Amino acid sequence: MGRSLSVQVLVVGGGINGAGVARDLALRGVSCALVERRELGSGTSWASSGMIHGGLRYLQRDPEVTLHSCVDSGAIQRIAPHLVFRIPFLMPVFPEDPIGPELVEIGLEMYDRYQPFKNGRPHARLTREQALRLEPALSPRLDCAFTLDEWGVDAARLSAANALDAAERGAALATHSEVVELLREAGSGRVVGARVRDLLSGELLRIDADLTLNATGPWAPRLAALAGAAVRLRPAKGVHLVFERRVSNLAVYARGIDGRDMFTFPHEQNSMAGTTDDDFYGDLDRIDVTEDEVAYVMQAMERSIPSIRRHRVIHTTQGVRPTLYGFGQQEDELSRDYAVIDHARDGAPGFFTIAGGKLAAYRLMAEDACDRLCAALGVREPCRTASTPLPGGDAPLDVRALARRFRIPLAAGVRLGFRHGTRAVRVLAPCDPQPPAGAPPAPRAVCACEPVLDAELAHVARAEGLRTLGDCAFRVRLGVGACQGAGCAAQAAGLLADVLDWPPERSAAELAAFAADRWRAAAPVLGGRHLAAFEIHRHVFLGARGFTL
Amino acid sequence: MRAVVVGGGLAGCAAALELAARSAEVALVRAGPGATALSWGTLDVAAGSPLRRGGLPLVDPASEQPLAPGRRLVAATHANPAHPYTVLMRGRSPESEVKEAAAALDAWLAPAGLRVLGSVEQTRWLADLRGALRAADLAFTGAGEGDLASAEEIALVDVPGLAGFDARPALRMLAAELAAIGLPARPLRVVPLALPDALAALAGEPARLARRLDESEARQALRAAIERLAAPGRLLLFPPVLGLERVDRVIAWASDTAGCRVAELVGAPPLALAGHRLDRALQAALARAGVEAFAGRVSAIELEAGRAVAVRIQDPAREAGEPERLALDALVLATGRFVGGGVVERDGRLAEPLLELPLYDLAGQRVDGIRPHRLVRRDYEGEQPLFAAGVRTDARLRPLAADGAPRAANAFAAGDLLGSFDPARDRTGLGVALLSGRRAGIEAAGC
Amino acid sequence: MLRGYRGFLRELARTGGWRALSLQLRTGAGHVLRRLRRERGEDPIALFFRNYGADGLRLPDPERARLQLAAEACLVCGLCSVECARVGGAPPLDPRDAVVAAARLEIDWLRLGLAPFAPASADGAAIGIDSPASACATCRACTLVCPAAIPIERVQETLARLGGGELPAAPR
Repeated sequence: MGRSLSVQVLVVGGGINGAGVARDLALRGVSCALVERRELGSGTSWASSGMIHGGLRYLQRDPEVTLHSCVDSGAIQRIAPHLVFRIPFLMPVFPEDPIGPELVEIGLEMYDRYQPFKNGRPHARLTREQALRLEPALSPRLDCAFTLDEWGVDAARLSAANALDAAERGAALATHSEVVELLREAGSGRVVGARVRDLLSGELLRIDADLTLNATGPWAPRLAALAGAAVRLRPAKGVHLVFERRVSNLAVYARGIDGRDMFTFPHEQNSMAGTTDDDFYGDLDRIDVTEDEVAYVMQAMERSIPSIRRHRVIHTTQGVRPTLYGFGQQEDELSRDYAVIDHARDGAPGFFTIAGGKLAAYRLMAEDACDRLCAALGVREPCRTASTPLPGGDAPLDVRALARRFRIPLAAGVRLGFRHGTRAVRVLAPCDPQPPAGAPPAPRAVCACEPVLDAELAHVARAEGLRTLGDCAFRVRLGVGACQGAGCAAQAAGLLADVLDWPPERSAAELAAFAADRWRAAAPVLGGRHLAAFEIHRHVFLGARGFTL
Repeated sequence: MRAVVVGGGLAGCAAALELAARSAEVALVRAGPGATALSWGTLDVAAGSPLRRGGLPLVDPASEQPLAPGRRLVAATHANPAHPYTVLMRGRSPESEVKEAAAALDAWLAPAGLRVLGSVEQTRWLADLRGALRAADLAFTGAGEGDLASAEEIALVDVPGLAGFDARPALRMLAAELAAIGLPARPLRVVPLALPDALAALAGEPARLARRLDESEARQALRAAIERLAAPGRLLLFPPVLGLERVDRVIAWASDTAGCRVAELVGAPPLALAGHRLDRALQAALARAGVEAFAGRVSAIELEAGRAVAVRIQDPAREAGEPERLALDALVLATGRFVGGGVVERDGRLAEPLLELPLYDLAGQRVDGIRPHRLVRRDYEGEQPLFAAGVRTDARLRPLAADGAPRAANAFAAGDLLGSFDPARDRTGLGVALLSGRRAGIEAAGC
Repeated sequence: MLRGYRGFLRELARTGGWRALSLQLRTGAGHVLRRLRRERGEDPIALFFRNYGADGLRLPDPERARLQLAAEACLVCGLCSVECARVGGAPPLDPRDAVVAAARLEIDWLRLGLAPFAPASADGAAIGIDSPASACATCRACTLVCPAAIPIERVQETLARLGGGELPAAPR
């Protein structure tokens, strides 16, 4: 019946919460297994706005939440300084805005008190002319503007870093693996583990666990149902538009036609615009971005930056928030609070669910969940996740020296340092005692848009447990730039086939799936010069397809 | 007779060269390279495809016998009666049309060292950079010499450190591909080529390496290494870096040195020089034929009493200023699809911007005036109206207005601008460009 | 100053809890006092760059913004790199890489204190260029061959000037 594994805690769901819990448990010396159905962080986490913000909007309701958020944003910066980046914001105030500049400034002055916890800067108030000087593309109708800042993060990479740290500290990690059955103790109904199927190899794995945590995000009700427990969520879809490059180095607030606050913000190599918040009733595994959503977001952006439509949008992100259930409210007003549910009350002792929350609070949520789990296990270790650096986050990296030493382009070194921190050296200098004949050649970029080096691809395949070509879009951001994979996916598939020993049929299938994924993400925003990019894309993936199926 | 051709890819150049051959005074206006410059070394007229839908079959479904490209050409027109080939082949023999066109193109390009190899009588099996097979009909010098079926032994040349090419996975894919199409097994191996230091430094920039190989001293440094790759009956397949300007000389030298057949793998991004070579060879042919070349974008076409009378050209170097005006007796539009800019999104809607021509998809439905994302279909591999969008023409390749009559009596269309075919799926793009380009030029010469 | 008093009341009504209310009232009072005293804080633009200059932010340049907009059309086809190789150019950055990365190089390199095209540093080499003398010759071969008509030589020029970027002087 395949292999089996015995741990204290089984965590199902490899998004930011599951990975965060697994890491916390591992740091407390608790044996655990983390099982993820697709790729780490590829669900709700990746589709988030990618910001560990301080919770400005909670200042009015509950400054405690803001305080905790800011303190924790600071903690994440400390443990993963390489993965975070500052995003300065510009908040224009228009004559018709319901809240006037004085009130806005009072709010920001309150927020200023909390900024130091997260290395944020104090706000500035700009006149119309000053604002237009900093961002000439702003709508000239504005009254005045304010600046503040938040921190951005690569959510998929943060999830992966947590999971990898857990794995390095002894946790078992299985991606592309799905729980097909929860194991129950006869009589008590206690959940004592799960049967897991590896979706790529078909192998079944039996995991015996004292406790099981459901961290599957919007899929939580589905997994809970396997234990006969009910988890009530109000899933809310959120999408972003992704621009070809940074439209501005400043984030700009943009109010939707329904009064919702959105923004366009620089994020890694691009600018993004969003997000939406709509009750979702569809298929979690096939989330499409609609024409209405694109129009809604663009309309909002246009209000703040009239010329925004000139910019090329290359794809979209789409995800569903696992919001806790609340009836009768607008989606935005629902609590971003979270819950750790003990399903003993549902006749399934040993089974817990964590749901709700936001990306920025992941570490706090994980700490809370682990406290509960450890109490149930009788483990008294303190939480160390706020003070222990994530892999690569222990010291600053000299990118210039790295690029010089390994003869790589500086731009590639910057991105490598972003994703791996001090571990970048390990990525570029594999510990192969017997390099193949001839000195190892200098690493070359496979993806030009990001860029992603062949050495990084080989590393994540060998040492980080990357398993599919699709994973690369999340783990190393391959194929999500201007060319949407037309220039890099085929070479990446060949490289992975080499390292992971794929038969050619597998490479061909992976490429076809990759191309289709990029199409689904880009199709809603296809237009302008992007049409030419997809003319080429189809020549590459359809016109040059081989005969191996 | 003054003719103006808009668009300088294969279709536009073919039209211009046919016009020049018929003693017209020809001006060709080109804003920049288009899809032609991005091609990878083959000239697919009716290339066989693995796609179940939308591709041209390798075998005849009835008899299960392999189809020659010429037969696939006929199959293309039957499967899609609106395909440009239907207009082009009406009342003619497809095989001889292609043969004549290939000979004409070969004559134009030969002085630049590019020849057209192959025919529609036999599929030419070529391997690409990733090891995937191309069931090509025609191909250019470089990739064209690489027909696999006639090779006793196939060796992929591994150039360590060459950006964009990994020989080992390519070999495994090639082995699987050969098995998939049922070609008899034969020895397949990777052979390493150690570049001398001066050339090894360029391995990270393949285009520069290729350019150096144009120089005979650089080739000399490589001589010993190439000799070591030799084996009788072997086909040596190199990544496409065998020269940038004179691939014919480099290939001749290499096969001479090795004593066996040498060819390039068909290119793939990011290693794709063949389209650049083709583009330059076409420009050289235009110059030799006395075609006047204008760099710029046509901003307007003047019509008078149902005839095109002039074009206005915007010089990109002078953003402001009067557009230049060129009077004409005949006009050929070979502006391409999206890459070339013949079909654009304007004010949020699909349009042909120069003559305001209606656009049609594979099913013959009108698609101009529609928002591009509304034309998108979910299935990536299925029909996509957007990417088959183009103009409809009469039997003389004159693009039709919405009422079904030619937009102008003396205006003709060629290449990817033509609608109702999807070059990425059916692999007929350059074939349509060559055949329709020549025909448009010949028809225009009669104006 | 009283504009939006209805909004003020609405917001006040939505305030949850004593802690939030006390914070709002204290901050609000301080704010009003400062406004009444017409206290001028630091010049906002100077404050902005004091806040974010180290993150690589500079005053936007309309010419550079236009250039970035043009560069967005890049098809990552590499024809520019091939043509540059053909004419024997020796720019510090491959043209395609320069175009694709222009927007973020502007900020990342300033943020990280990297000035790749500055004259050779003390240890004798600057990253990304073979010799201190290599530079884009702005021959425009790349631009002429670009299917998206991107003025690539201007992108190269812009990046080459990056090393000398300065924070804006405090306004008069």
